Amino acid sequence: MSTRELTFAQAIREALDEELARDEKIVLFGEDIGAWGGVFRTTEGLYEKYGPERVIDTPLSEEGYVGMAVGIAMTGMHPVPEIMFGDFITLAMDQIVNQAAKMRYMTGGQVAVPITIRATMGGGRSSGAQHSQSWHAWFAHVPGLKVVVPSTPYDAKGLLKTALREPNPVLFFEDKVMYHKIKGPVPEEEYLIPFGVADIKREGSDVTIIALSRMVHTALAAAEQLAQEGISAEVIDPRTLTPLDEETLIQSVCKTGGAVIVDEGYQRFGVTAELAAVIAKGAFDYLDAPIERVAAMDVPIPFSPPLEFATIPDEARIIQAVHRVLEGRRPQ
Amino acid sequence: MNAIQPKSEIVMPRMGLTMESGRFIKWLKQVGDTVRSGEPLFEIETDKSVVEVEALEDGILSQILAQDGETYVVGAVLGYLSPPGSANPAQAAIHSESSTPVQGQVQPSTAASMAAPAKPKASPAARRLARQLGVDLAQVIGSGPQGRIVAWNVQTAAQSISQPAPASTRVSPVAQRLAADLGVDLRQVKGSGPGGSITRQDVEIAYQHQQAQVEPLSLPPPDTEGIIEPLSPVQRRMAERMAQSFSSAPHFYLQAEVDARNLVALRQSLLQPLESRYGVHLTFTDLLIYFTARLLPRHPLLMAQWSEKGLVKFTHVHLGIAVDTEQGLFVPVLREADKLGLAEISRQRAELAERARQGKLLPRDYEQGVFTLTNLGALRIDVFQAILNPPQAAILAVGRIKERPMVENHQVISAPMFTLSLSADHRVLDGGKAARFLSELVEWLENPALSMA
Repeated sequence: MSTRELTFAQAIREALDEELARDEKIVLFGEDIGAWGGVFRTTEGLYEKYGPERVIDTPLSEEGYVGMAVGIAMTGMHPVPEIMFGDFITLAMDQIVNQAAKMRYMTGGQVAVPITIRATMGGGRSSGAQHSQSWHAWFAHVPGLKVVVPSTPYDAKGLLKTALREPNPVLFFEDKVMYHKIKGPVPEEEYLIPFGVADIKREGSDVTIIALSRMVHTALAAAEQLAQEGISAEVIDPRTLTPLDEETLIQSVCKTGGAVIVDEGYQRFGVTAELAAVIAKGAFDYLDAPIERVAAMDVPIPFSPPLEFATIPDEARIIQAVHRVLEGRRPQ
Repeated sequence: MNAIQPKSEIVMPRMGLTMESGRFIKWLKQVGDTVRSGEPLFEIETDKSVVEVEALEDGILSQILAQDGETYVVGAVLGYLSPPGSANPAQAAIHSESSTPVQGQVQPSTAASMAAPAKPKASPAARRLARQLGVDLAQVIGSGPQGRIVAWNVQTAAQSISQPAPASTRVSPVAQRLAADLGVDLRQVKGSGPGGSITRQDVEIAYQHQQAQVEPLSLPPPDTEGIIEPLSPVQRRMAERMAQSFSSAPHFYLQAEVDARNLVALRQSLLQPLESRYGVHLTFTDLLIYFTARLLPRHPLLMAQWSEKGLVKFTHVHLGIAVDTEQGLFVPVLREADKLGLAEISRQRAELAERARQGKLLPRDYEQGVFTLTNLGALRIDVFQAILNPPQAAILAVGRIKERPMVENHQVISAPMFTLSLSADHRVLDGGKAARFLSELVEWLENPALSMA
């Protein structure tokens, strides 16, 4: 298998390109995604290649174009609306939560809504409180939606291609900091990654660190530092929140006896809380310390970089959490 | 059971890795007082220091059990905090005058309100393991936060309960006779000789173990302070030797700062070549061994030893290196270290340290040392004074290398520095002689080329 290195943005773009070519029912919607190629360059060249009827520039009207996308999905198309800053997905909330997520159920299965909503997440760019949030947890809370949170170019491409063949609504969250900073191997050949299969990004034996999206990289860097202290951390990326691969998480914690859960979303009632509950139940008899959560502080993300970096998880906070989990757990 | 409002336990904290119990000095709050998280709540005494312990959460001090001056094991319940705003005068009034510490556990006198004795805190994994291995958690000392019992505590406890008997092992005749004399059961002895055979030394160690374990079987009466943990042979030996050294040899201490810029550069330049040519990882300790060993013959008194008949002098530089292990402190010896090249020093030092950690040192590995080097830099210690390793007359304690402000040409600059502390036996040498050795060593470390002169 031949492999080259792509950035996260290039992997997304390639998945869109291949699927646009494969299935003419696929249509992209979004602000500046057409002639301009997308603010984050994830649709670069697609407008030229597939034309204005399949790569459609929209006004700044999330409720309008997401609503339109839900409508055409009900007629059998597969629309892919993009929310340039995931913060503004709030404007389309009714279309997603009350319409897209409900149709299949309320029509007794007569109507499907094959829609893939791409939205960004993540802070650390000094973009202020309204352009830095990570709202993936909200959609994982809604029955009828699938939520994908890839961390690598490889995963992003494979999971997005799966989403574009999925007959149900999918929320696909892309951390905007990763677009151009994260590079990784992506095979030339076609591949798909199924939903609901977690990936062990690093094997270890002393503690399990569960992280998703960009936090996987932060967790891996923390694990590397911990290795220098002689601590062997396993890093697991669930890759999709719904469906969730509970078994892999539980098995890992049964092996290590401790868990640190890392997410860039807010801590309160967030992803870390749900994953902690899954582990507390599934691995209860194997836990040797309380589960630790590392997530964004429960405040609007500050604009000032020092304050912003203090609120979102970093390596130091992960390492501290691992130390708390391991305190007194083995001979010095 | 009475209807009791939810409340949380205030427990004897673990203030250090080795702390198993502490003496309760006094409460800093009264029953009924509102307590904020982080406020000093009570005082305890550990080893030599008195420590104020802070509340871990907000609440109202609703019940106090611990009595001033009594000793409690880590994790013992000292009192209770009720949630903030839940003050209940009746509840708050409970103050057990007669509560007595028994085996470190507090027995509340108000039996009605606390029908069940406080269960030891243990992680779910520890509980599962205890069930599997048949270990009674009440007998296990926890090392987790606030004395929580974690899985390895149970594992350790289980191991100390059941020692597998070796099937058929060879026993030397001397060992056999000694075992009969001392009444040691050879099935309980672990052999360290070739092929696992039992040697005389193994029997002696087993005997010491046996002796050590006889004592705690007669449990201390309820009112004595703390509980007794039997000493391992290594612990006992360390205690005896250090007490003997510290009380018989008049120690004095010299301290000198070292500008480590050249030493750091030297190590940097050697690291890669030594790694690729000899497969060794050069440490600062190796460099210190190298220079110290080569300097010692010029200062023979540093290698001499006190005896009533006169000073005993040595010519071979057998250099002891203190090694911290799970079982305790060991000082394996690099023989004729002044004749060894750096790669050989590094290789032998690593091998001896590894053998020490695995408890596989042979007597010739630690006998006949004439001088000891001890380095706590890796454990973040900046400066420390070591107790002499008897019968030696000098020990060099090495602190952490760190970027520190240094004055050079009337300017404050940043440079890697560390501190050497020499402890010496004043019966053997005086301050001047020790100082000349130390200052020459510092010169060499600051300008390694001088060692060739």
